[in-house]
Amino acid sequence: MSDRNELNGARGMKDKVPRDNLSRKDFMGTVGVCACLGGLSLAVTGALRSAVPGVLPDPSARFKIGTAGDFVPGQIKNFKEENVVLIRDDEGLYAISTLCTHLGCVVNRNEDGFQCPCHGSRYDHDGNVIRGPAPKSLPWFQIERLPGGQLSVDRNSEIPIGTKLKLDTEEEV
Amino acid sequence: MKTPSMEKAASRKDIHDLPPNTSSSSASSSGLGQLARNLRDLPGNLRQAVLRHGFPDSPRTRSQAVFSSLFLHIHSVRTHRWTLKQTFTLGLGVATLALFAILIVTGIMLMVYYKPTEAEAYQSIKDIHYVVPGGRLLRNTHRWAANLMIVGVLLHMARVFFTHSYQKPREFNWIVGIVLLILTFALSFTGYCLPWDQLAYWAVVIGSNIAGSPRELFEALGWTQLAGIGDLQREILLGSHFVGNEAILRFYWLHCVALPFLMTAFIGVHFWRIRKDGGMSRPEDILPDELDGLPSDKVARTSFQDPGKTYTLVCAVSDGSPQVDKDEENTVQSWPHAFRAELSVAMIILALVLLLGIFLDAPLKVPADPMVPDNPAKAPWYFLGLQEVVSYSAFAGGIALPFFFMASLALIPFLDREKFPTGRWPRQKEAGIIGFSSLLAFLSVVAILAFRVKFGWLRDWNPGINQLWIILVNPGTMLVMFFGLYTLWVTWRTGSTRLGTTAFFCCFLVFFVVMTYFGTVHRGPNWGFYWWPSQWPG
Repeated sequence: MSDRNELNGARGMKDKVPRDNLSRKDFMGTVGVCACLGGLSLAVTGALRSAVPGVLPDPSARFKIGTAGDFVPGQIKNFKEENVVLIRDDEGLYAISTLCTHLGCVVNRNEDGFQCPCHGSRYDHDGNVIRGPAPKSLPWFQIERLPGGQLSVDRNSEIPIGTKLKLDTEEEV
Repeated sequence: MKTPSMEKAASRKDIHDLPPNTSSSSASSSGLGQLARNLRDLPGNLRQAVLRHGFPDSPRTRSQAVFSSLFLHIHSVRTHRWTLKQTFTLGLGVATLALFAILIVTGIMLMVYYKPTEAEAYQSIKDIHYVVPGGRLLRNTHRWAANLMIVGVLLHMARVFFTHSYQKPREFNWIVGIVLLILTFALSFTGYCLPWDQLAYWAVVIGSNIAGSPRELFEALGWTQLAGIGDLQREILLGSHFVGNEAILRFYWLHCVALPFLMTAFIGVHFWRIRKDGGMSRPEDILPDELDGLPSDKVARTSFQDPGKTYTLVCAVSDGSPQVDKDEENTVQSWPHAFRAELSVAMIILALVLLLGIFLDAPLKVPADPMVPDNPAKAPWYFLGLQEVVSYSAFAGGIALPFFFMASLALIPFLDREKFPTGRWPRQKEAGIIGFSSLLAFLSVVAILAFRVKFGWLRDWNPGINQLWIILVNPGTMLVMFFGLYTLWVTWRTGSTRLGTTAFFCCFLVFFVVMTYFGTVHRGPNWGFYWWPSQWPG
């Protein structure tokens, strides 16, 4: 410390005089400084709160996918804008997210399942992770029946892998 | 009353000694005569009012040129000759500052035409490129200066490290330098997001998800109540859960307001501390012949009683007061020597950036398509090393590893407090450690990359493995552990913390360079391994 003081030309400057007890004046001064710091930090916190969006300008998590009749077994429909792929097989209809659980790129469907172009994650046909850095399997979304035979997907509600919506044959007609 | 010829006879450098036009007592002076004289003296008086000193051609006026100017007085009046040695600083700090200045100027110009909305951003970049007069050069220059600034900051850091210039009392300025490095990366990232092409869009998606990646760790640990921290960071960055108008506005604000403001403030502190910490680093034991070929003046070789003191006019004007039994000062006047050196570097940089900007266009991909990412979706080159480690684990590669490296770099001056000769490039034993560490780091990085490409990693052997293993045990964390152990071993073996930190610094540099190269050249579609981009399918 001493040599730094010399460097800064503060030679001969003595340390503060040690104080044994706090005088009233010093105490009031300390309180004043603390009050200023407290007020400032409250003000800054209040200002920073505005960084957290109060209203999220997000598109709706639900979207319509048509009627049961639109899906025949073996059919795969990719809802690109919503990043969801709808698959109809003999057991029923299910919706799988196409957003990689690693860092959110859109995965491509190929014969082995799903593949992410950004960092090489791979998923099987049901969306289970089989390779790469992805921490979770691709989520399956709830499909709901709306009045009038319409179906909709809710991207906010995840369901266990393998839960398929049974579609009655009468509905398809 | 003075005659014009008398006034002319007064040397121009002494103009500050002449209180201008105080001769109002003369009988012949009418108001109009006075006005005429004032008009005649206008240029000289105006110059005096602006500059506050005469033409810098004497030691006194040259000193005044430095300390009478707001913009120059960050310099000391005299500069040590060693710090003008080209092979010592390589001009890297000034080069980086020049690049930042170019970026500020071109950036402010680009702001006139750029429109930060989803719908207009891409088109406005096209307009800048094809329609705005000079816009193409402006944008190219901005882009090249940004790229070179990354290189400049890294090389400058390496120079400071290898010449032992972070040692006491310069520890804090080293930390400020690390902050400037991080800010440079942040500015680059927020900058290439703005054109809203495919690169920009997917970079924002990936970047914001990295901010959200603490979720990966907390969910793997089972602490789901903490997982929201990552989501909050992501929300603050994007202003939404989706990448759209809010995100582009926030990145624009970061790039044009918040980060440049911080950068300017920290650059100010950085320069201020150079002065306060004793000027630019230099060895204590400079031999006279080491200074051969460097500029010199009358005072350069004289000795002063108190080399530590601030230069006063006395020492500058009277050409020194020689002392016996004192070391030589070996300083020269900053005007013109230091300024000439700095201006030369700045001009070389400007020429380089302009040449690159004229001949090589800044890339612009097709407009952002939220439905289909490019394959491979690659970041700009300086983030490809990061992209490679992120491909092991989002949290480990995107947050833990960068944090570890930046924190360890920042702590270097406090972990190594040895008195190595400051201001000299490494020699002998130290150079040996540098060579060996670099080679070892190179081989270990290449070995682990080759191993992963050839044999895969944990999940390829056991797809059901817990994510915690993926986060903790991957090529990135393994290398960091290896580097850490190797650093400890060197410290123990040599008994020197300086040599230990040297080993670590070399490992970091080699890690960065090899990972960047690997991500740039050997990664292709689906982030698979390819020898050359020409072998990519499709």
